[in-house]
Amino acid sequence: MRTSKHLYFHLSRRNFIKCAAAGTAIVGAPAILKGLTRKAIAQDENTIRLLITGPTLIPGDWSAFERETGFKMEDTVIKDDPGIFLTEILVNDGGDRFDIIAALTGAEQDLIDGEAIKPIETSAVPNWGGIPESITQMPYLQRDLAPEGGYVWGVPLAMNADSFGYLPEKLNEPRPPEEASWSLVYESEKTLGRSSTGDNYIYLWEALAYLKNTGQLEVGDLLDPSPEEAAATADFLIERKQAGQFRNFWKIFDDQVSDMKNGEVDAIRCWEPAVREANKAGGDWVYANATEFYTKWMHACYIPTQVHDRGNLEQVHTALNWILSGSYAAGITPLRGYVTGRPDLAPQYAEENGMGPEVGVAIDEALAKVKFKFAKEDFWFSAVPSNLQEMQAQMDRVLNA
Amino acid sequence: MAATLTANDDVMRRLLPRLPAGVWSLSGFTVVWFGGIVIPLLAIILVSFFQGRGIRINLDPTFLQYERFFSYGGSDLLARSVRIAATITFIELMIAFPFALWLAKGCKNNMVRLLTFTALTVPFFLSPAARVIVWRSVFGINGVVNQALLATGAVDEPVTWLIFSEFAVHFGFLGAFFPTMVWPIFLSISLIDNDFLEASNDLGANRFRTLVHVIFPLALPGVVAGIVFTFIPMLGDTVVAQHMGGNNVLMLSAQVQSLIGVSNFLVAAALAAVVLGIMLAFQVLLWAALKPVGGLNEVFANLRR
Amino acid sequence: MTMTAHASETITYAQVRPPFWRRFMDGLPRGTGLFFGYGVLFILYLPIVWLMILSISGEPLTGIPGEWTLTWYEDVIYADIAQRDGEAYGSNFRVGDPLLLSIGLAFATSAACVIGALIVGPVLPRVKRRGPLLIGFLMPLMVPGIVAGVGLFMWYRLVINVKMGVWSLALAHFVWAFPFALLAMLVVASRFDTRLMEAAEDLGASRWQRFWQIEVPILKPGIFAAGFFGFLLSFNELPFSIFMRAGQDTLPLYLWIQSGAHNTTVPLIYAMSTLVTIVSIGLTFLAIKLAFGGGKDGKQ
Repeated sequence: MRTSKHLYFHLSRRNFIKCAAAGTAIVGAPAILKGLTRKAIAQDENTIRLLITGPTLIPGDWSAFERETGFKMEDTVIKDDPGIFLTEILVNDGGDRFDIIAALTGAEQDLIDGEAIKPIETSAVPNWGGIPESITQMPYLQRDLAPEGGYVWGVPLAMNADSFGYLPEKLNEPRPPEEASWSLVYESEKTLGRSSTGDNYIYLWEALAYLKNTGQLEVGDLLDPSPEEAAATADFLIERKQAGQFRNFWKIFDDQVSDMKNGEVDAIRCWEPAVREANKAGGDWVYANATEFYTKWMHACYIPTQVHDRGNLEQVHTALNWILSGSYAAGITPLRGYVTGRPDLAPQYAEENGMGPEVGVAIDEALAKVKFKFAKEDFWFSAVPSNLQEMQAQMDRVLNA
Repeated sequence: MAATLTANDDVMRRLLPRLPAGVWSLSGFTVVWFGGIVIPLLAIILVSFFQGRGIRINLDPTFLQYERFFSYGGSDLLARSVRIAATITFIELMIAFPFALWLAKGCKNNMVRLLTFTALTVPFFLSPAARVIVWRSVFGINGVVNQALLATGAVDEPVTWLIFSEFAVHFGFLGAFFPTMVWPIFLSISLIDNDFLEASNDLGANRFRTLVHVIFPLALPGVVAGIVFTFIPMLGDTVVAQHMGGNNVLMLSAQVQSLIGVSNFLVAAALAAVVLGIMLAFQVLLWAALKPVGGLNEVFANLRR
Repeated sequence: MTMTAHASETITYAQVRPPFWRRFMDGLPRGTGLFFGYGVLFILYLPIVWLMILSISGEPLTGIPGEWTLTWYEDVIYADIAQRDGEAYGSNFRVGDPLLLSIGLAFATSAACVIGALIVGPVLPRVKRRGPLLIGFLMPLMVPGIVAGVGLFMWYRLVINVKMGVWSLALAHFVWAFPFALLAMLVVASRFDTRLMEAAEDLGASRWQRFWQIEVPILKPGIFAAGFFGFLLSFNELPFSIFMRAGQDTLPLYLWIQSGAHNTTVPLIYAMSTLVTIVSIGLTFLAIKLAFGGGKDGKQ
């Protein structure tokens, strides 16, 4: 009995493990090969590996980058929830696998604390010098990019000043450049049951900015709200929600566009490209010049600590310089409407490369945006405010109400 | 548990009567599974009793995370999620059981059966979001349904509760989780020997009695599996509540995603612990409900003729 | 059929009477059961057919078909293969690699689930105190997916200190799919009459023969179901993968990440889903035909 049991063990193990090994090897081969090739590419120092949280900010393809710098670009997109990309970098050693990390500003404080990124030598990035004063001089931006003890931590990738979309004719509201109030989103009778906003802490924060600007709430530091301020804002949103103000709370870009295209809302806090997308179907949407404030955001590029030991720092600097070049601006701005660190370089680049007039128009708009919208005081938001978890929890309370 | 299995032959024989075959592979697998999977999962529960921010945790026992979870509307969330998932699971069971019975025993056309199986399988390959988003344009204010209602004069204004409402969430789940209920029930019914049904008939039982006293008890493993296959993934679903409910009807996994998204791992762990508690309570309920047929433990016991 | 036969039933029924189990569903429940069953299938398929139509429409998000175009297909396929000359191509939607990885993982998970379910399934019904074991094996079902993924990630990365990779992604898929595969196997294994094995042993069959010639054929529906659910659950797995991915993209992960983009992705998802549907209808039909032995009259 003992021996036969042993035999069974032998047979069964042979059977099971062989099957397992063979099956896994055969059918998993493409996946595993892919993993191996990825690793092989990673050792080439002329390949720049970019971890990016905003798929929108990839300029369609990297052919211009590859032509102009001679490097290869390999991008990996990751979800922009701070809990997810910070974990990827801090816990999962993202720096071992990536040369540049591009993320929403505000997250860098955790990266600095975790010693995951190192300051950037701006002298090695010539285009840094020409970034408009109006961008580098913003109080919040200063904290983000510029000198903490004389250090620069990040290079701007792209940014925008967000507001909301609305239907001027239907609501009997003026068109831009005349201003419209955020009350269309939060508490206008005209849009009762026909407005919408997003579902996370950023949109709670905006409501807080609205309350501050309309004098409904005393706010200490708008750039870093306290848990009490977040709770008060949540109470306001819950009251509005129960009054039937909001049609829904969107999560993704296509939610916004379908709300607009399908006539669910008349005013919606949305991203700027959503308005263009909605108007493609013949809509009459405009993106507001807001009375109260703009939600200014920026994606910036950081250099992981590990790059300094890998010996491709020079290539990384060149890549960052390209991101501040006219080439990237002329690529991304007409495509998405977002502003780069050096929009001023784009016209010349577009002319030299024989690009169409629409590039010029888009760039002019971007420059005007820097001049007017970015000049407004409120408010730059951070991906990771001190009370991030409290703020999200309060937003969850709104959604649960 | 696993350790005792490998301890010695006597213990093993006592635990695994009459079948020493497979003991080795089972115990090996069990050790790996419990060590590699169950312990980390149990560690989550442990972590929920500590404090910290992000991944930095200090070992200071507290119920703070539970307090937080419930103060953010957690109990409403749980009640709502379980209510919706349980309602749909019940409806699916009511529809799927006769359907699976027919597929297994009544359907005489093999081609129809093959095509039905294919139809029950293909949706698994699709991105869940793709299937759901389409309904927004059907049920929306300018959607097909509203246009039809307005055209026929049934309503004067567009009906707004067709989308971004509980109705919409229920409806979104209904189609999506039908195959998961049919499959296991079909599997268990098709294994019932036709002789049993014939014998039941010969002994004078009518169809109803055969259904209640022969088919249902024998199909019970499939029914239990079907409930698990439907209820669990439904609780884990994010797309229906998001796209059909427009975040007006928040459900469990959306909440989990938002907690994890802001590195709120500890409250997420507390939530997981609460969910685990609910699942275990659910099993106790199931056990009580199945007591007439020997309890949950007996459902997956070997058939004794 | 039953209605027309009704008049002459009393005379001829006894002679041509089909077996009881054939008649079982002939009467009352059939109509209602089928109506609801196929009704729900209709609800399931309406959006699929609709999205196929929308995938060749110019404005898919409005839900109104028209302005027929293949541009979304071009975006899905073209962005993967080549780039337009000189002009920035608007679509970053590159599903080729993620799709390949998802298929590979699904096959691997399927194989692992079959093996795991074969190890545990036939034995578990005979273990006396199987309660704790069963709960242990079903544990991943009782913890919300993302949290379980985080838990496993933290455990392996911080406690055991290993690096994530394709292996961790595969493990995540297995952990999610295995409990379902096991349940499916148990449905079949609990019908297994152990006396067959004893009889075979008495007749001098070796363990190998008993396994291949008795267990495997009888458990075949369970083996198929375990592999089948392993494949399908892995193919659509998202929550467990989020933290176990280590830079790898499966199809659901890729779509989830793309949903954060500030550009439209739904039309592309429609186009891709249409392609996936068409391909999977054919393959599924073949697979099911093979698994059920084609022309066999029911599998009893």
